[in-house]
Amino acid sequence: MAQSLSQDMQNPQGAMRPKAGMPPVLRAFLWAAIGFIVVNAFVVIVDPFRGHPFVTGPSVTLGWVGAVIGWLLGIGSWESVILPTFGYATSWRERHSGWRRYFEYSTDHKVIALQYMMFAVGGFLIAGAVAMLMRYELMTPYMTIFHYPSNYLTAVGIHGTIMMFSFGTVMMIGGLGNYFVPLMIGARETVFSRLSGIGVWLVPVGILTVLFSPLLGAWTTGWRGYQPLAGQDANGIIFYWLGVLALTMSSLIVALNLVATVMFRRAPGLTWGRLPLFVWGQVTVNLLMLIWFPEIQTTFVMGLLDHIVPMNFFTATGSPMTFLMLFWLFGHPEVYIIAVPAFALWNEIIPVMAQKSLFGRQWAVIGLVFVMMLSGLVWAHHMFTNIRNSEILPFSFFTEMISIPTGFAYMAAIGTLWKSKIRLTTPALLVLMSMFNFLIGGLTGVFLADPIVNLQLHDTFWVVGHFHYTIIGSMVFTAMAATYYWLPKWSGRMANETWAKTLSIITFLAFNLTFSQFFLLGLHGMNRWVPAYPSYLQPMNFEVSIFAFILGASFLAHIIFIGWTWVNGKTCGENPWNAKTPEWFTTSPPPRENFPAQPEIVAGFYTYGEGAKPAVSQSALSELAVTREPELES
Amino acid sequence: MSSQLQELGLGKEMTPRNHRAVRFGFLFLVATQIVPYVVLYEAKYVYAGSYVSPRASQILGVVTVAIMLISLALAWSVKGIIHTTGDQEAIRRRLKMTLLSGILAIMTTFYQWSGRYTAPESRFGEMFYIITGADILYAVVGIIILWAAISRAGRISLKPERYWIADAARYFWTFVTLAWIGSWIAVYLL
Repeated sequence: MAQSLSQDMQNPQGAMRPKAGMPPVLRAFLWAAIGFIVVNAFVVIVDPFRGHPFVTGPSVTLGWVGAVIGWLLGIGSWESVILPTFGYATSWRERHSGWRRYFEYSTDHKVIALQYMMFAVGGFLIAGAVAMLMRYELMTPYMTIFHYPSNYLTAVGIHGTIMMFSFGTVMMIGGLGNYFVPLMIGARETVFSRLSGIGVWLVPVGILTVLFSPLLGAWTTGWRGYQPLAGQDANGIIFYWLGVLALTMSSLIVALNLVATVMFRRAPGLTWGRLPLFVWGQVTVNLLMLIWFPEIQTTFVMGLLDHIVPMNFFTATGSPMTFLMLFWLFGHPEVYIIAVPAFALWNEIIPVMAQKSLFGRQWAVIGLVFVMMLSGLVWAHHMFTNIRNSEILPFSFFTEMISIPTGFAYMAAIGTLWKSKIRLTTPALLVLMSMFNFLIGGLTGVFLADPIVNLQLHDTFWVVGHFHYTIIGSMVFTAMAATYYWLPKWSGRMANETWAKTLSIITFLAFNLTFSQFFLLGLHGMNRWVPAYPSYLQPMNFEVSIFAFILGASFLAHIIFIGWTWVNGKTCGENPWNAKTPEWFTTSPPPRENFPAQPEIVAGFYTYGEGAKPAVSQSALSELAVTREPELES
Repeated sequence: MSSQLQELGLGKEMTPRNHRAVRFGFLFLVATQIVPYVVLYEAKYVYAGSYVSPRASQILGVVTVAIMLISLALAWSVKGIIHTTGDQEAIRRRLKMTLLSGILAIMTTFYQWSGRYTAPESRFGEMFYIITGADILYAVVGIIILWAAISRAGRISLKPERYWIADAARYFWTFVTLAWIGSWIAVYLL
C-alpha cells in the first residue's frame, strides 16, 4: 500500500485529482437536504394540506425521493456516472489507496464490499441497541421507558426492519458476497461495478430512514408492515416503506451484479461443477432476490399509496389478506436469502479446517438449490390462523418438506466432520456453534409447521425464539465465523485465538441462555407485540433480559476486537488456513484487479488427501507479472 | 473528448465477452421488472375481476397503445442504422422521435387522469390509476435512458462500445411498450 501511495504522489496523473472540495459524504448530505427541501416545498405548494404544515404525507414521500437522488449524486455518481453516461468529459479519478476511498463512490468490488459491511455493522449496532431497549422494557410487567404501547411497537419495528433488511441481507450478500464471489471465481472485476458502487450508498439511506421514522409518528406493525394495522398508523409507517424500498433496491443491485459476474467472469477452467460452495449459495439466493424483491417493492408501493393518496388496496375496506399473502410470498424466501449463504459457508470452512475432502459435494449444492425452489411454496405457514383448513395442509407439508434439502447441507457438513481431525480454530468453533443453534432453530420450526401446535403457539415468544435461533444461529454466527476466517485476507493479520475463542464462547452461552428461555416463555403464555404482560412471567423475563445485555455486550466486544486486530493483529502469510479456493492465491489484501494475472483453475477445491492437486494454477507469465505488480496496480 | 473518456476507463473498448455480459445483465434486470406487473395484474384480478368501467375511454386507450407501438418501431429502426452506416446523427434523430412519442403517450394518459374518466375511489379506478401510474414511471425511466443515449451519441463515437447505449435504450423501450400493451389488455379488455 505504501508503495502505491508514494507512486500516487509522484504520478502527475495522480496529482490531477480535482480540487479537494467538500468530502463526498458531507456533500451528499447537503445535496440530499437541498433535494428534500426543494421537492417537499414544491409538493406542499401544489397540494397544500389544511393548516398548511410544511411536511405532509405526500410531500415527505416525494421529498424523500428528491433527497435520495441528491444523496446519490452528491456521493460521487454525478461526476463518475451521470456525466460520462451522457457523454460529457469529467475530471473524476478513482482513489486506489487510503481510508478516504471507503467514504466515497468506488468501483472496486472490495471497497464496495467493505462499505456494505461497514453499514451492515452500523445497522446491527443500531438495531441491537434498540433490542436492548426492548429487553429493558420487558424486565418489568408494566411500562417503564416506553410510555405508550405504540412507542414500544415502533421500537420492535425498527429493530426487525433494520436487522432483516440492512444486516441479514446486507452483511452476507452485499458484504461477504461482493468481496469473495469475484475472488473465488478468479474474476478481476465485476460486471456492473459502477452500478454496484452507487447501490451501496442506498444502505445508509435506508437505515437512517427507518431509524428516523418516529419523527413522523409511531407505527405498530413490526418489520412486516401488516395491514390493516398499517393503514391506521401515523405517518411513521411511510418511512418504513421508503427505507425498505431503498434497502431492497441496494440488495437487488448486488444480486444482479453477482449473477452476471458468476455467469461471465469465471476464470478459465472454473466450470459450474467446480464452482465453490459459497458462490453456489450466493447465486441461488441472488436468483431468489431477483424474483422476490421487485414483488415486495410493488406491494410496499401499493401500501404507501394506500396511506398517502389514499387508496384502499389493503386497508380494512380493501383486502388485508392480499397484503399478508404478498408479504409472505417475499417474506419466507427472505429468510432463506439470509440463511442459505450460511449453509454454504459451513461447507466452505469445515473442509479447510479439517483438511478433509467435502462429503457429498453435489448433494450439498442440490440442497441449496432445492431450498431455494421450495422456499417459494411455504409462505402461508405464517398465516395458519387466518386461512382455511384445506389451505393449511399443503403449506404444512411443504414446510416440513423443506427440512430435507436443508438437511443435505447439514449432512454434508456432518459427513465431512466424521472421523476428521478438525483444527478447532475460531472459525471452525463458530461454525459448529452455528450448526448447533440452527439445529434447535430448525427443530422448533418443524413444531411450528404442524398446524395444531402452530395454532397454539402463534404469536407467542416460542415463535420469537424460533426465528432468532434460525437467523442469529445460522446467519450471525456464520458471519462471525466468516469474519474470523477471512480477516487475514482483508488485513493480512490473524486474530488472537485465545481472545477470539473466549469471546465466541461467551456469545454462544449468552445467546443460548437468552433465546432458549424464549421457548419456555412462549409455552407459559408470553405474547409477542406486548410491552406489558401478566406479572407471573416477570422473573423469567428479568433474567432473559440480563442474558440479552450480556449477549449485546459480547457482540460489541467482537466488533471492537476485530477492529483492533485489523490494525494491530499479528501478521500472517497469504494462505494461513491452507485453503484451496482462489481467493487465497493472491496477496492479502488483494490488489486492485484481484490477481496479478488471470489465474486458471485446474482441479476441484474440495479434495484433500492423497493425489489431491492444487486447484489454482498461475502460469509463468503471471509469475513474471507479479514482479511488475505496482505498475499494473497504477 | 472520447480519448479523455478512454483515459478514465469509462469509454473503453467493449470486448465481445464484455458486451454479452452487460447485455445479459441488463436484459435480466429488465426481466425482473416483469414481476411488479404480475403483482399489479394479479391485484386487478383480485379486486376488480374482469370488470371494465364503461366510463373508461376505450378510444384514448387504443390511441395510447398505438402511439407506443409507433415509438417502438422507431426505436427498432435504430438497429438497421447501427448495422449499416452507423450514422450517429441518424440514430439521434430516431431516438429523439421515440422519446417524443413516448412523451405524447404519457400526455394522453395524463389527459385521462385529469379528466377523471374513471372514478379513483372505485375498485376498477384504483387499479386503473396504479397500473397506468406504473406504466408512466417505467416510461419516465425509459425516457431518461433515451435522453442519455441521444446525448452520448452526440458527443462521443459509439463504435468502440458497440453502440451499447443505443441498444440498451432500445431494449428498455421495448419492455416499456410491452408493459403498456399488457396494461392496456389488463385494464381495458380483461
